[in-house]
Amino acid sequence: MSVRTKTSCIEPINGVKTAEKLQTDNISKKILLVGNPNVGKTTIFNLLTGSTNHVGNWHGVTVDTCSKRIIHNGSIIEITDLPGLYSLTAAGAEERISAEIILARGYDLILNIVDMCNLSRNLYLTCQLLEAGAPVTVVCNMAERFRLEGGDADIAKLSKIFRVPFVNFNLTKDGRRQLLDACVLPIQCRDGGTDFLRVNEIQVLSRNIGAAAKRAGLSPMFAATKLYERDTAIAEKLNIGLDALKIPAGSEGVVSAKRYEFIDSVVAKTVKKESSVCRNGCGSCKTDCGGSGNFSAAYGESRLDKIILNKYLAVPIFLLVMAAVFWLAFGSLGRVLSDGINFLIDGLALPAISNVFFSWTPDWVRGLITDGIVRGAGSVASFFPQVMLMYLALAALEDSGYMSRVAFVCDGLLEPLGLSGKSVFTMIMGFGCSTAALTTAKNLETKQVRLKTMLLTPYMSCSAKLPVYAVVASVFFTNNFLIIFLLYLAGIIIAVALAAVFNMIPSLKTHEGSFIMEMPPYRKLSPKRLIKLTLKNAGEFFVRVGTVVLAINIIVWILCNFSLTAGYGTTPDLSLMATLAGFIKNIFAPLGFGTWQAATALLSGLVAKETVITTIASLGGAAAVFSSSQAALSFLVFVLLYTPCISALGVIAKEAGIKWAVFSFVLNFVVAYAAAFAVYFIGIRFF
Amino acid sequence: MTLLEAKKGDLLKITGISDGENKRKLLDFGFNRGMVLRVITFAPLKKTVLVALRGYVLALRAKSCALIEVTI
Repeated sequence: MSVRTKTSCIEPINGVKTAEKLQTDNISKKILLVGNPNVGKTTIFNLLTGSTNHVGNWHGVTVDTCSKRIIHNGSIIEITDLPGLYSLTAAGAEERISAEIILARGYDLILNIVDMCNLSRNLYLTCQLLEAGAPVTVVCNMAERFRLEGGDADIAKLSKIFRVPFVNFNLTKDGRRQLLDACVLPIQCRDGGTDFLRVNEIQVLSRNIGAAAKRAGLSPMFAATKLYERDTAIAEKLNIGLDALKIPAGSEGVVSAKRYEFIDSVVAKTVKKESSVCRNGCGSCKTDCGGSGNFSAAYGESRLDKIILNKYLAVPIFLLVMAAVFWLAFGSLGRVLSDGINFLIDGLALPAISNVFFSWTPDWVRGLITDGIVRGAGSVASFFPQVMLMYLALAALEDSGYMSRVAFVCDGLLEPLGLSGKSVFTMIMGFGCSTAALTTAKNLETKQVRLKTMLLTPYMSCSAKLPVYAVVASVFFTNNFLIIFLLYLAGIIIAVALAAVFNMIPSLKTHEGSFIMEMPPYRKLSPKRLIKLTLKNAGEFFVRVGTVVLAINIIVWILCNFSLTAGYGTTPDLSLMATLAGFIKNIFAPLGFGTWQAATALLSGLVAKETVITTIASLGGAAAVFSSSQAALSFLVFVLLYTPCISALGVIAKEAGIKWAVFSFVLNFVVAYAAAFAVYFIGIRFF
Repeated sequence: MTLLEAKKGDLLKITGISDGENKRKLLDFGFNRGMVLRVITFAPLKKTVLVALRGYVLALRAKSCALIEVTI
């Protein structure tokens, strides 16, 4: 329901500081937010621009660039949030986006966000930005946490050594102003700051390739360094074959070692006291823990990992956590709240509307409002609490840092299936909204893994399908919680089976993947943030129900209640929709639900899955649509598995190409048809 | 030996990174010669390893671990 990051969402100027103000000081600055993954770039972006883009405590939440303009002291500033990257020699697709933008130089300043708690690795990227000759201001984020943990760094000295501004940052209004002030300051630039890379071969190389580098708009020294590191992207840019340069073996190691040597010497000079907290009992950080296990504040955190990542407990704990999430959303609290809303709609709103407010209107108007709009939209709206609880639980898993642990734990289990641990992120998000989940697939390592994860994510039953299960199952089965559970499980089992099949197809087979993932520290959940997120999701939910779902409802209702010959009031079986859906209903006859009502529900579900249940509700309810419990179950299995909604297919088409979107469409239909047929056949035969 | 042969809890010094698919990525992450790292734990099935170095924690697959030469 929420699409994670908006693609290049250039938005109109924010704030009402009148047009004439803009004309007088029309100084436009373009600023990039650059940094390692999970250092808080999007949080800073949101603070600076007043946006609510998705943030989370794992690496690679942002997968696309996002720009927004604001006005600060009369200057227009365009701020762009980039996906995180570790190095300018990009490894993944979203790193490549960032690296390309940084090297293209279409900006005035880079705000390089660094995590003070992880300074040396963060400065590695800073070094490369300086090598590339980019105008940089370094923003020291998480400084608060660093100080609280007893760390102490000399920002002024860092600034002096790197010859670029280092600014402390805190997440407040004040911090926002200070940061924006730093943005509009005259820009200081350290030119081609590569004097920490004193390697003769690179200097020679830079003279040889100087002309080619300048043609490509790069500094010769930077281009030479990157070529020396065997960066194929840069070699392509310069139109130079790497083999022709006769670069000695092990050259990558030389450059990287030089950078880290420099960084380590700087850190030794400027960081007076490192954080006393050894985040994971590593012992490699020069702190009091010294590997002795005698460390203070974070001890509890490490202890948590000891249990959560335990060889035997890890998987059972994960299953328990997921079971708890589902129980919270569907079994306990969510169900009570849902029943309450249902009562309000059926018991109060509907009688009031038809008997009081609209009693004077013609039949067809009353019919449209009660059956088409209120009953239809209401059948989704009553699941509002359950959908929200699901989102809330997913956000909590993400923010706490648990999701990355799950990725680590599951990696070994997913590798034989040709997937990566990180696929788990995308797939679990799929329980919320397939479309939003699919956009996160971008940060997966290889094309094959990305593609397979995208093809399998729709099998994780999205929250819009839940009302269908709940409503239909409650009519035909006594234990509908069990049915819902089995449906979710069936989706997962089929996804696993398909993954195994995919791995046998040569073009989809994964060569042993290169899973490398940073593990974020645990973070305390902020109730404020969770509430904000829930409100955002709630807003999106109602907008969706109020637009797409409502529009389809009205169209379907009109088609179902009018006929070309008789106008309104025709028997539904003669309606326009019955005629249209009549053409395709026979396809579903072998599955037990060959009625035009079921066909209509499935057709409307192609646009948005919520409308499956709204259509059924406005066509007389599940009891009228299905003839037997076998047919109803077969229908539920079909809904679980069939073709993803249009917006989900759109994401697949965008990320993998039209061909794969069509493949997904066909594959899901075939699998759904086969599974529903099997369920119906077995149901009829044995029960 | 390589990181592949390490045991849970080992404190190891990196002696070099062999050539391979992820070599540069490992170098970018700060796996330089002389750096000390600790093996935190293995995932179930033991194919993925959690290591700590430079004050942060990284999960690596066996294939990458095989590139990392270490001594105790």
